[in-house]
Amino acid sequence: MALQIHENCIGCGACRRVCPVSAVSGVPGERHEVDIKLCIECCSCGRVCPAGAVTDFFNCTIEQLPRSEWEKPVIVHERCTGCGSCAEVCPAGVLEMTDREGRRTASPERLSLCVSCRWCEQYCMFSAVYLMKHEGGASAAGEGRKT
Amino acid sequence: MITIRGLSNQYLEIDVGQRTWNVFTIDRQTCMEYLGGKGVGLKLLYDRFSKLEHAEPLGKDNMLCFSMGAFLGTGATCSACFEATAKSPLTGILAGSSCKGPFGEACKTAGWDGFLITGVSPVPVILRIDEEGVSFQEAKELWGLDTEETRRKLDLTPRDGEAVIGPAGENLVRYANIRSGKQNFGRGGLGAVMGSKRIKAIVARGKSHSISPVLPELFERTHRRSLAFTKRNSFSKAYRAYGTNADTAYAKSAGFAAVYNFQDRLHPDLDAITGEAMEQRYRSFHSGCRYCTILCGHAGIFPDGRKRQLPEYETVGMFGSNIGNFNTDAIVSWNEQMDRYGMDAVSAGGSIAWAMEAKQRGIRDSVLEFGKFDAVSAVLKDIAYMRDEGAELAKGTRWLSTVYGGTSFACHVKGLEMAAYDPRAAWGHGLAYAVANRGGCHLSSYMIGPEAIFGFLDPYSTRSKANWTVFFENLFAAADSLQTCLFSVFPVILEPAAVRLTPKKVLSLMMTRAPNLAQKVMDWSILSDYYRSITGYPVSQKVLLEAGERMLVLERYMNTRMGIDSNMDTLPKRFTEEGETMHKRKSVVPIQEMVKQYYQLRGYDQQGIPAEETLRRLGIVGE
Repeated sequence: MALQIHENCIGCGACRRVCPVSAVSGVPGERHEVDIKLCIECCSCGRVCPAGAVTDFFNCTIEQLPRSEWEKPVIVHERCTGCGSCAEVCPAGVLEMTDREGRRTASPERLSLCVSCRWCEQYCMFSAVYLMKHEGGASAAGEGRKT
Repeated sequence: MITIRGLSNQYLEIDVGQRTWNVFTIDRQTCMEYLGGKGVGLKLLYDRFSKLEHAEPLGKDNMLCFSMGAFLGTGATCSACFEATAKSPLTGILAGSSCKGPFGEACKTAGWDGFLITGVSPVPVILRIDEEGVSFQEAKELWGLDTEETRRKLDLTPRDGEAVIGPAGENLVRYANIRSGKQNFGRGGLGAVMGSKRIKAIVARGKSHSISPVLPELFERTHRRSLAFTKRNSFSKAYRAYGTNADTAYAKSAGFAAVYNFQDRLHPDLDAITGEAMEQRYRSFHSGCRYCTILCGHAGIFPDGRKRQLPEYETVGMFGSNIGNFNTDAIVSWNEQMDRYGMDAVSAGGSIAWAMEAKQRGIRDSVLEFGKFDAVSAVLKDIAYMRDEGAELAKGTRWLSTVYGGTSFACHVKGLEMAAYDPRAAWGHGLAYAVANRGGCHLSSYMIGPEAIFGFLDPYSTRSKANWTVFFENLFAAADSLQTCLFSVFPVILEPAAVRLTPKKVLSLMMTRAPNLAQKVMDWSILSDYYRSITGYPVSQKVLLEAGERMLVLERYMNTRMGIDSNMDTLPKRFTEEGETMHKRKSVVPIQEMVKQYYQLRGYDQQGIPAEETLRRLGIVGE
């Protein structure tokens, strides 16, 4: 079962705006739809939905969560080899490879765009990326953040 | 997302002529005997061999098989590899090539373990594969575009993976590539086979399935062991620092560099093209495959400020010292050009070097000349578009030397150009070139490693070379079927305690004097444990090696049915007669002696054909 938007959708368009792969479509005021062929199942549409209209693969309603409480990537610089896999796969363009103390490592340059899909964590072969809720929200944790 | 435990065992047979497709499965026994990847690819072609045996490589009867292997999508180390197999237009026999681009993972996580393409499409077409099956889309607008432009026009989403051809594939250059992401199916001209079927691109939309091991605890344990081994292995460290071009430094010290179409094997200017030199010049950084732990892929910043992928050792050798060029900027830009056209740098470099030497000897006129490189870029374009001189160079060294003469310096085996490792510096590597199933392949057993790079075996001796060539061929064929990167196999066999703690001199003595005993000490259980944990099939390391042997012999058997015999298991005269080089050691490869030993160990008859008994023992033919 893929992500679905149900009839209680109010057509506010929040899901359409947050989706990093443009899988949600619809006109304002009407029920939106998820194209399951594009969806990467990050569930960000559900987390921004004020009407609780999105259900996940287990057919459970995804609860709304303030964006400041979403889990965001943390880079363990000592482990990062600078291979660039995380930055390459990130569908939202959050991560970038930067020079840090003379070493090339991954850096969450645009943390505010993160949708917590966990692809960076999944593709890192060196366990140098993990996701966690940042204390004080994204703005406090956004080291080197550019918005 | 649907979870697949182990293998999906779903294969597609796609007829691009009729635009039809159907799903088939293979039985458990075949899976265990051929593992996946290369093995299953060969088996699928063998099952259809009556049609393939007499097929024209660029005709409608040739088949192109993509097979994914068990490791893909599980997150195992270096597991982005997948295999393509077909009858090669360059050699006329089977060619398998592996690639580590995003296409494999996308296809596997769409739920397909592989697919087989038959027929010829009347018009250019794009194949789109997703969890529901295959759809066909016209590709007229893309025909003629290079690989980068094609990829841009395909509008790929993060879930997609693509395999595309460039102008070289469309124009049936015999050594055209198939490209996926930054990676290529490099050898044997599989791009031309795809071009002959008029398939411009195959796009898979993955991530509808996730792959999970059947025995997760064993998988985790094996994974941790594998990561630790890769991390501490010195070979991996050299590749991580400088890419495969770290080999140029070894080539200089051991004397296996290719210089002036292999006329020499050393050059005083080699320092200018080493991995270290490139690292300093381009401030190189990692740019490799997904799931890679070796990190040999590098990119760098060019003097013009652009980021470019840095070439591998083979490209540096073939377009560097082998044509007398020591300007790395030129090599990097030609490499990029060839990636865009979609053609193999080893075969292109070999053909160009042959043309340069033919001009030097006055047997064929050419715009190409050793030491002059203004024309190379234009010639590469001419090759891709089959124009002027390029139309001849696109047919490879074997064709050129047959038409113009000069077979003694045509550096190919069975039609496949040799990579930039001079076998006079490592006789076992010479044997590997001569007997490799797809032709002059340096990766069939990579004997240059134990001989010239690690220094375990005396490079100028025939002693136990046949034995180790057989062993590494079997092991690498198995690794190609799992499928994992060959570079990750070295840490797997070098880092277990029994090998690591044995003094190098003792190990070297054992490997030379008692190869069978040394092989018993070696441990490649990481590979079998990975396979067992993912699939749940009871495959031990012994069974794994036997599966490697089975697919090697099967491939050889099919090749002999397509015309290969013992006369072709040899090296060009350059390596068997011309011993004088700049290197202080005069050396020619005593190839016949080693080939005979090899046949004996493999269970082939004197003509190099697998004996009935060998085929029975391995279960290739029935009792």
